[in-house]
Amino acid sequence: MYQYSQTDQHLVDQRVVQFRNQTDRYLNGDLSEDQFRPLRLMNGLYIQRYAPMLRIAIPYGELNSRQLRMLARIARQYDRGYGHITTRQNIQFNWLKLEQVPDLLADLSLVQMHAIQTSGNCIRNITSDHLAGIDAAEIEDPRPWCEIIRQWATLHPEFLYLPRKFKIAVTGSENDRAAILAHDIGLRLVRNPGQETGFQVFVGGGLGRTPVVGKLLHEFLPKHHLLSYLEAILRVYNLHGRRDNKYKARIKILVNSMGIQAFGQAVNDRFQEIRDGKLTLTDDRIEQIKSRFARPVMNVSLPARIHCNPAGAGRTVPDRDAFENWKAQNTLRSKYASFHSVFISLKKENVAPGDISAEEMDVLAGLADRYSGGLVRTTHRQNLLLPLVHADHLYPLWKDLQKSGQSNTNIQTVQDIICCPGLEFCSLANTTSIPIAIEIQNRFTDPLELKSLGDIQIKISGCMNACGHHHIGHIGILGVDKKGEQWFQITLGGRADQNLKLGTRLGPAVSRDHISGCVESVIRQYLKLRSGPDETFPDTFERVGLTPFKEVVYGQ
Amino acid sequence: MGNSGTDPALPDPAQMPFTPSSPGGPPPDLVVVPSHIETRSWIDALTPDHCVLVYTERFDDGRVFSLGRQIRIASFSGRLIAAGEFLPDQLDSLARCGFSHHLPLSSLADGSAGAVLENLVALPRPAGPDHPGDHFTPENDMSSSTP
Repeated sequence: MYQYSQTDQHLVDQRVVQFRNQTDRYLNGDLSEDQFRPLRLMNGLYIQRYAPMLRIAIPYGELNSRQLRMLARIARQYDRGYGHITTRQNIQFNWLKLEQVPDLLADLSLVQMHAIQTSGNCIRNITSDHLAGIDAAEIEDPRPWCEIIRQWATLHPEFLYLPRKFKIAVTGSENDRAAILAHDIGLRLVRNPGQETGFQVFVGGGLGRTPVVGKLLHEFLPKHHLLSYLEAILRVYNLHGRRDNKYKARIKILVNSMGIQAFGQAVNDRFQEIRDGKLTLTDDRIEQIKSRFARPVMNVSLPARIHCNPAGAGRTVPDRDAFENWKAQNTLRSKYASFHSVFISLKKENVAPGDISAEEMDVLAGLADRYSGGLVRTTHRQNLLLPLVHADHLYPLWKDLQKSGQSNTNIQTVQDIICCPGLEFCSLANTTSIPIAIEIQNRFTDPLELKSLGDIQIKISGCMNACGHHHIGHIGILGVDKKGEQWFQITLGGRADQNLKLGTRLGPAVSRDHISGCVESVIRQYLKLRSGPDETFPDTFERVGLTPFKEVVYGQ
Repeated sequence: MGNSGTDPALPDPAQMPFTPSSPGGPPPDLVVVPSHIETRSWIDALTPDHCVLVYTERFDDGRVFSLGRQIRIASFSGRLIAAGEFLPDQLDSLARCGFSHHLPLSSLADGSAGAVLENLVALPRPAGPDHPGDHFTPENDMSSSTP
């Protein structure tokens, strides 16, 4: 995990002082609401339906146990005892008091955390693959590159007042788990025929009101030019992106209006002006950043009392079956021999997807210390991950998770739903979304059925802003308001992987009373239609089209 | 000479929010640029004798910052002024983007170039660590000069 330098810490400390001053000026009436808005947003603070909401950055989803304990403390001290993991790997607290936020930020800075640029019209938190650095199939660990971009983007003097928010994601793997094609800039580490590492650069992806799949802008950008090229893209966008209509202000609109060729030419013109300048990344600089990622601590010698017999002697049969089921569903082999990555599901019965209590955070921090070198990660699908757990420790870990109620075996199942906060919290939402997710989860509770259904990705947004990524769900649900009533549009066949695709609208919206039943009908129809257990939902949809699903939803 | 129509390479004076004039003496080589200007060829026509004023009506108009950078990247070393109702919190970023001076928009109401020059506020050199993208170098550091 990246260790702050003195400069990093100084910058965060200064930002706390600055935000305290800004908040005081606002509360004293020296800053108007219009003036304070971009300042607070740039610091992650929204005014939501019921209370200010603070989004805290978790750069590329990586946390240590000390930070997790601090988040638990913040949940207790400043909020209502829980936080919410977002699709961009951050954490949100929904019940804060504005005047306490500077103190909260000061506490965060003690553990090298902050809320800088987690909202507002600036470059947001850089996201990445939750398996970065531990996936055997990746070309290179993307985290140092995320960190290089993070340092460049943080408080970048030129790009704090962009036309609209700006999101960057990086993957080092051919298997895209970071949805890079749904980002303003998506970066994929690649090698050229000469085995040099560089980046494929995609631009203009995004969801929201106008969903667009990112377009290829550069086939192979040499790594030394990464920052110069990003700066050129941002400069073109900052100067030419629309500012007269916030719904047309994202870079995807600019790219579409200029055309990718003309946009690429404009970027290249700006790039040529600054290439080989001081943003050029030298090998020394790259190595310096890489060296600040502490090597993972591999826990292999635990106290004897928690060792178990890997062969499973002494376990009861039901216990063994349950463990093996959890292991198959919630763990992955890492690139380090004998070490597994363990998913902790945040999709619990009757709890909002992504919510985690302060008690759960504390328990997980302890388990991370015990089993995973003190490291925890957040995932795009709103779960947590212990990145490196020795195979011999999986059983005791599972037993510990059982004790704390965190052993849900529903990772990558139909219960593993992505969902926005919806009307329950968000001032922009048209409809509820969390209760819809819970209703659907409650329709599929049989573990055997969950397993047989496979990884059906349901994504729910309570409005057109698409925070729940409904466009790229295998089954997407969008809440719409019709004369004061909640209705829901269903889209099918979307996907968020390296073949990212937008879903197709099934037909007319369905009512609040019927939405979860309609989703169940779609899933049961898929079970009948699929060619076998290995045919995924989007593949079946691709093969059979909309009609058989329309029949079960609309009776046509 | 100012950009009062004598140099076709410079921005159209019709876009200017006011007409610079200086009854007490010769007009400065003041080039007034609105933040929404689309072209950039005029940047290449600048000489060190020019004084460039970029103005905006909104404090959150990020184009100002990129224009400052663009002008400095083109090796302009003269006085570069950001005119607008910027917040104190933004002055550090303006300086890092190459601006040497700040001018409250209300100062333009007078309508004279003289008023512009009288109300200029030199931007202090930013405190704290350098940013990788800073464009604040000794040759464009005008903060020690008097308006």
